[in-house]
Amino acid sequence: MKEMKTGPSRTVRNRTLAAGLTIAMTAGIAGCGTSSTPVASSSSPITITLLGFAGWAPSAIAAKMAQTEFPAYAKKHWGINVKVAYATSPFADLYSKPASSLAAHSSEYSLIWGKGMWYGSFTGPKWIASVNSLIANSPELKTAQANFISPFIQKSYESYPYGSNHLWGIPSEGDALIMYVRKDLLDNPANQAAFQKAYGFPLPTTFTQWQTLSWSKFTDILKFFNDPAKGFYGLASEYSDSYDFMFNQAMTMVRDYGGHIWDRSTRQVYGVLNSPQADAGLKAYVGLLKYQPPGADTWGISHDIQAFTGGHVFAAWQWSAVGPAMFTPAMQGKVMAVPLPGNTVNGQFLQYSAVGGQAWNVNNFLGPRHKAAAFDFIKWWYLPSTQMQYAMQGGNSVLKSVVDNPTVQAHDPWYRAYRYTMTNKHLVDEYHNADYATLMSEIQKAWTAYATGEINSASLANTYAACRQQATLFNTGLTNTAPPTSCANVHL
Amino acid sequence: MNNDGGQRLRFMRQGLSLKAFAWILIIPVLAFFTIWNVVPFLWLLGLSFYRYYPTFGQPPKFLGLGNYISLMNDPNVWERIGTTFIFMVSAVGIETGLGLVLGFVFWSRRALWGRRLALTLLFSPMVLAPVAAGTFFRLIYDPLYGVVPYYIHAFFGVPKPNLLGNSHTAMLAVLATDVWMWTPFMTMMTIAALGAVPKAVLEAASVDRLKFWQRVRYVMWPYGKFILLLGVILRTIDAFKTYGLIAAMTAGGPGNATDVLSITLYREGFVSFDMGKGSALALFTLFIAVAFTSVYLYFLKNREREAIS
Repeated sequence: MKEMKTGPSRTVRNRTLAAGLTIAMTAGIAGCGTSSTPVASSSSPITITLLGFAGWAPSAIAAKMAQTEFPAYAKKHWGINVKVAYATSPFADLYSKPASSLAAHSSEYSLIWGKGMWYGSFTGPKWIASVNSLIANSPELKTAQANFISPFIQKSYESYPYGSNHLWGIPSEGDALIMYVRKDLLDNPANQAAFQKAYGFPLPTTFTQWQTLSWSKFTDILKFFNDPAKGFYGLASEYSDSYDFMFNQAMTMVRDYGGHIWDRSTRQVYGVLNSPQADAGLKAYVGLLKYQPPGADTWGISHDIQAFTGGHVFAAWQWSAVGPAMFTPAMQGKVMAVPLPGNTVNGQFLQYSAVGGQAWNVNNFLGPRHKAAAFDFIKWWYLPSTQMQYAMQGGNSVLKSVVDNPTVQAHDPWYRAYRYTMTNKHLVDEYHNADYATLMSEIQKAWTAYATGEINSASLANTYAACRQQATLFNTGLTNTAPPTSCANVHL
Repeated sequence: MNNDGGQRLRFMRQGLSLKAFAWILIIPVLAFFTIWNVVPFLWLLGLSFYRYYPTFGQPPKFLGLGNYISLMNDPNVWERIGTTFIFMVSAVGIETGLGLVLGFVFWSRRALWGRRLALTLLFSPMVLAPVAAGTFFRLIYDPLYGVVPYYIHAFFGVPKPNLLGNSHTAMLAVLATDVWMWTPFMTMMTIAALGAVPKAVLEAASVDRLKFWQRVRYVMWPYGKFILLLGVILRTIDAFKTYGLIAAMTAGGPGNATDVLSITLYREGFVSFDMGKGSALALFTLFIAVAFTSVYLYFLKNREREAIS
């Protein structure tokens, strides 16, 4: 007997599927059209949301100021009713969280603490708004631009293409890598005598002496203070593969040893990164692990701060932005912030440091009122009183008038090292292009493999990274030079 | 008049056929499934044939099978598959073994003092978010402040090991955390499987004085195998796509030591924003997951056929 047909006919099935697909597509199209925030009525309050870094004091200080000070100022001076919300992203997702939100054309975050390194990927698809006309039409911002501590600020924090006149953000905070050292140990006469006897030169005790210190002498100092039996070590630095943690410190040392990461103008990596100088720099950086606590080969910012403020290390190679966390009440009078050591190559003293900090980037998918409020926020941020208040709460201003203010310098003891480094000709900022995140991930993978002992050769780490990065740049059309065929045999 | 006939009459009286009523019930689910499953899947499939980086601000470019060919020729992808299989097989194997033992213990000792509390405590890791568990264990394994390195140092007199920072121990440390988290699930499945065996059959086996292994093989296994193998299938699929735990503990490092497919997939999609290659890799991962699930199902059905014949 023929089985009775109980299910729906093919026609019904097809029609149902077609209807379902139509509903789905209609919903999708409707969704695409409503991605921007609708323009609120003029009387309704505007909420602007800041996206900052979780656990990062400068973001938290600025957010608190924004929430408590800005609404009253905006109401009084511009007659707008604004509320400020604060969202955060963990360090591991610092780039991917705003990027994935903006890729969906979301207006969820009004102002993003962005990085100059991200501009290649944020400006191509027009995710963030240009600030050229905002600056041109704002006397406060024009004054601020002229008052930056260094021309490097505009290049690094604002421009894309790098160094051009196309501006996409305005610094929220300046930052660079410096060294925090234990002043009390350096000033100890017994330590001074013992060190002089052992190494034949005096312990550097002043800022000026640290300005010209070499990596080799710094290593002697670390060796002197390193005492694992007592649970005390020489240094805490970053070797984690999260975000750009290992990259900045290691890159600094690669540059100090005469190496380069890539050729910025030709976007050539292979043959540049895999060089004897870059290998020597990487080897020297990983060699510093000998004077660091167990497990330091995977450490990031918070570990360093804990180790230093917990009294486990003599020095911490960290950002000037973490100054407020390093000069704790318990460490009062015991800490000194100094420039990074350097290295003499071909008669030239190379003293590189990496630039940090963030810029305010305005989400380009905001409605007109929200965008106007976000721009007003930036103007408020650059009021002299706001900048002064930020500095007095521990933030790093980029304005000469604030940085050179004796009251601020006395209040923020890391400012001298911060200013010195920010105005140093060897301050660098890398990877301003659309492939930034991939390049960063690839080099950190190779370098952390070397730092953790997965591979034993700095040369292999650099060659692997050079091959991968060259392939990335070639595949995305940012260079016409493909990696050599020998790269097929290069593995971690 | 039977019940079906009664229902049919009621619908017809309301001017609605049974078939139409069935469609009314099924359409919301079908629409939901279409919107949230079929459309994204087709979108993903379509994207996998394009080169598309949202970060470049350029329109997608058709590549045909280019992304798939690139994946097949990429030795790193094969390495990641290898790492994923090592993680998956080890995790599911250990969890199943331990789950069986614990399941038997809790099932056979119903009058055990504190059984309920022990079961509650045992199941608690399973309800934690993997990212929270990963963060928790990252601190436990921390060589400076962590409990595990402290006791290894105290008991064995060796320097405090950096378990997550060493490429030889990182995978073991991550595996141990996964086992801690998911063995309770296999324990639960074992208890459920044993609960499916009719009491009368067990009593008959007892009267017949079957040995323990005979009871397991001929009494418990035929009744409990479906539930147990379902547990193994679910755990296998879950272990294959583990992301949160590893992302929080090592993010795939050090180097490539714990870099499983899901971490690579996240990196392609949300770090590099290579949507084409990321989509191709997602489909490739889906294909592998479906393939080994099919093997399990085949095995299950085959045994069933053998039993009938």
